Amino acid sequence: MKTHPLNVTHLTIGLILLGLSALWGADAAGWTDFADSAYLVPSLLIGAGLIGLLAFTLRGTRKTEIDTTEEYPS
Amino acid sequence: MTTTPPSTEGPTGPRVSADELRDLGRLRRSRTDRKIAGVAGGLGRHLDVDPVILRVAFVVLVFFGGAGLLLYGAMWLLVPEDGEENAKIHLDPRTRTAALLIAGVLAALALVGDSWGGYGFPWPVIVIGGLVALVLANRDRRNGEGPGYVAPAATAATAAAPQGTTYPMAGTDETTVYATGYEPAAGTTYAPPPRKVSRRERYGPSLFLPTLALIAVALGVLRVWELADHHVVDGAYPALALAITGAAMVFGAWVGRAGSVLWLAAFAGIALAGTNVADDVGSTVERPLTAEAVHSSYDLGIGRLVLDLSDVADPATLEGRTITLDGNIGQLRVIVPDDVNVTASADISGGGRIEMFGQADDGDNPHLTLNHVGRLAEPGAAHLTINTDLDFGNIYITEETR
Repeated sequence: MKTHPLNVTHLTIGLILLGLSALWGADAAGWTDFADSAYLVPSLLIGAGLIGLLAFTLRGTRKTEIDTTEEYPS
Repeated sequence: MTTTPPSTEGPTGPRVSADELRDLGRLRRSRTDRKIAGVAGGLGRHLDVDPVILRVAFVVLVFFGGAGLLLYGAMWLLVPEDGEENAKIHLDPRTRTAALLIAGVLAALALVGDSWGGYGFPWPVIVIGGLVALVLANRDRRNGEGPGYVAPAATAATAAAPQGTTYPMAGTDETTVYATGYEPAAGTTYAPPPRKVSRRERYGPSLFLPTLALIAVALGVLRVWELADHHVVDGAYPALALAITGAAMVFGAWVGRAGSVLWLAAFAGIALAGTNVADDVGSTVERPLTAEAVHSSYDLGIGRLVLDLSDVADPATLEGRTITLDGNIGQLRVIVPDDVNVTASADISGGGRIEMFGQADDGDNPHLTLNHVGRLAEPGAAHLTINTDLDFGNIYITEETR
């Protein structure tokens, strides 16, 4: 399967959507003590954001090593 | 800012027609009538209403699930200023209209009630709305600012307009001229791309249809599971769809193009928020028979919630318990046994009426705290604490009558 350079936006958004569905599942399953915590959604955003930043940093490192010719003149 | 002159007849009759109202592409943020970003000023001009009314409405709506914040933020980001064609998040007029309508729907959902039980603020709706805006912005930037891009030429009418002349906006058939002006494309120095590589060729196929198909299969399977006598809550369907879109976007970070999948996520998110609101709406009567069956908290979205403790068989075991009832709009009613002592507090933040053991308070923000001695309470009787909180409506706390 052909892959392309990592799209950090899609990765971050995907993680947030998965996290939101998981939180809903926890709430629906009756884990109210867990799901009602006001810190959960901010924690989810922080976690997904940090992963996105990390992926962006790693991708940037790889890109400068491998691909330096694709940019158009500005 | 430069605009075309009004028609020779001048504005007559109603200043804004229904067609003009619907044409959100004309909407601009005001540069002259502004408190923050000119949103209310521009919207007031578009709707032909006093901007002060809109400002008040925005502020009031902020306190209803953040709807005002969402609307104002969306318009700030999506709507260009007077004389500009590019907003902070630039979209073509049709996409901008769609995005504004989505923001309106999200704001309406936020207004209806807390979309996620317990948070008090519709984070999922805000987050998903923001993500949609982000992806739209990214897509637009990619489509519109590639090499060799030539902006559309101004119409003959606008090109012929006297430069530097300003005309009233409301009610005219004005067409805004691009502030940057237009130079012939031949005069630009853009180098043509060495080779046109399609997005499909570069990133792979769109994941929209595969994701849609996967959602259809998954929802079908879940429905079959439900028909086989398994209990499935309503929200499970959109939650499953949301999870699949999330997985598709993570997958699409490496394979294919997942941007359009976010539309599916937006629909799933709205549906999920809708089911949560629907679950919270209605009339509920809780009549526990034992102290163990009494929960420590009860939630009401919109409607009526009655907690009748008069049938609790062993009221002495309520000793030291604290019961919290939270609601948005409607009526909270608590009936306590007559052989326990109660410390009760009630607060209605947005206005309403409280009646508690014969005392009452009403107004914009009524609140009442009382220590009540049960009519048949003996020395050393159990002591119960009841805290009630409501946004709008009525709270009644009474003792059982027998």
